[in-house]
Amino acid sequence: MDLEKFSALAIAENIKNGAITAVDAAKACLDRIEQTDPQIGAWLTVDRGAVLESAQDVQNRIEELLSRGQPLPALAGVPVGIKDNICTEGVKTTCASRILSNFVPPYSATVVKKLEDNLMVPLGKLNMDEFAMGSSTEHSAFQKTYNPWDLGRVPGGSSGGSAAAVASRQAPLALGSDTGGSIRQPSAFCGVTGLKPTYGTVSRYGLVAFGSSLDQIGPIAQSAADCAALFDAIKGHDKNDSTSYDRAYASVLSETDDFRPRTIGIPVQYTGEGIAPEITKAVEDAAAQFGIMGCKIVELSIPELEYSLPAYYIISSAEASSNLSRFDGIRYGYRTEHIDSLDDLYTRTRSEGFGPEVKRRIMLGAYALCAGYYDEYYNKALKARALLKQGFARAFTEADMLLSPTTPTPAFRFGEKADAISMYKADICTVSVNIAGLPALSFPGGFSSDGMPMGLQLVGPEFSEGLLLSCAHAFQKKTDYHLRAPSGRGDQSA
Amino acid sequence: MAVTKDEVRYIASLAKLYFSEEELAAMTSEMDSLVDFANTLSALDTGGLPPMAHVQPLANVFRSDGAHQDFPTEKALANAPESAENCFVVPKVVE
Repeated sequence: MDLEKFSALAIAENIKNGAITAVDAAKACLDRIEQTDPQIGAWLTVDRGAVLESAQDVQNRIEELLSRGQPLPALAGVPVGIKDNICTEGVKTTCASRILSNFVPPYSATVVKKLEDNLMVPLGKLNMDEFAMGSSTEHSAFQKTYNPWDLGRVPGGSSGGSAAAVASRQAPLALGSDTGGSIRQPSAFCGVTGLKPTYGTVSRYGLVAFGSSLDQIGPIAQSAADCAALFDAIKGHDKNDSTSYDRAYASVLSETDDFRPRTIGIPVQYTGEGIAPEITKAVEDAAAQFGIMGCKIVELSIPELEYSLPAYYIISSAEASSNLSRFDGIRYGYRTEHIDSLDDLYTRTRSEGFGPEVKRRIMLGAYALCAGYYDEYYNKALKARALLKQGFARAFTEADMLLSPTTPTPAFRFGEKADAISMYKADICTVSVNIAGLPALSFPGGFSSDGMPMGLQLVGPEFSEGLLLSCAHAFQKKTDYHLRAPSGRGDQSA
Repeated sequence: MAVTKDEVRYIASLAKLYFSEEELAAMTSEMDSLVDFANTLSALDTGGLPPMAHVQPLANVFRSDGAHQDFPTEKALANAPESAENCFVVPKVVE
């Protein structure tokens, strides 16, 4: 059985009806990883023996449930990759940073426990930009990840490993995290579907913090339906995360088939200047398709969006500088060998342990928070956040959801965005969503003339994941962009 | 240039980061362009809006004051670069 052609839900169906076992599914992924990862570089840690053991354990539990006539979770037996900033008990969790290169968490993140409760099989840990800071995965301290559609290009970031693994059919599903686009942007670059959930719907307990008011864990998959199933598995209140909403959640998967024509707004700020013409065309084509499906398309304006990039980089860097102060070489992680004093221990450990992009963000954050600049930068950015939230609220009185590109261009080449600010500008369409805490979905919307995938983004009001996924699912029934698989062309050195 | 080398040196000391003279010069110029980029915000009229630190209507979340099992000491110490007698070991702080 050629598992790589199967969606996650199809794998679950085949396990449920006994055509294959969870061990078969895990083996197929492990074989594919062994075969293709020397070219892709998506994985940091894969322990074949441990994966097969847990797959066998899952299979036993599935058979036990079936024999008692009990229902199986929707993704029972399905393998899943995990971004390496999500803690896995007993399995190295490095954040792709030298400072955590030897860190073996004493506990698992709530989402990892939820995967286990849903009888899913974790395959291993996926590469990323160090501490999730970046848009290309070039900032990993350990290895490059190559875009499966063209090995000369980046997979996006920071969840570049997660998106590349799903795109190259090494895993049917992966978890990523999204602080300013880190699920959606690599999903767009790699031609897969990725969901950044409403802030507070998925527990952050065990996610190594970057920007605490922005971070959210979410699914990456081949299709909207698979994303819905994985989101259902990981969402929900957690007493260990005081920002997780304590509310009743309906099944989003059961909503995905319930497509109803809606009003879709296209913000003028995300069309025209700065957006590649081919991508603008893909948005227009998708709008036309949604129109055929009965949706009403309206153009609208959210002027506050223009300030979202600087506001995002101030807020996220300020929170990062505070969060990353915990890496001090004392309780866990790397410690310098040259110690004269406690201050020396802190400074040398951090200077040797963090990479250049992480240092840049810590410095910018410390600058924005320090006396004399606090009001001018940090407070100003928080006021911009309040304005942006109002801007979105206004837009949602005119439309049920917003359609835009996920990224201004398709995947760029390695080294192409050498200066920090040109890299930051790659996040122009995604950061506003995190500032406002909204859900957003990236899904494949076509291919550029040179064969690279182009991603489209749907943004909705809080808790509208079901709405976004049902629209993307209906779109995916009419298009085949999400079904195309990369050929692995191109040259790593290009 | 809005950001000076001395400022960057000071911020680095707050952030417990060390930069060589060469790195300091590069960081100063990077910080300068980053701050310049951040300054585009000053054109935004935020009027009398209060700063919004968080998108949620945050309130204190209380739990009952009950005993529960956390990590055993050896597990909490397992990742420590140096530990002894159930404690993290740090360089001598007081003379």
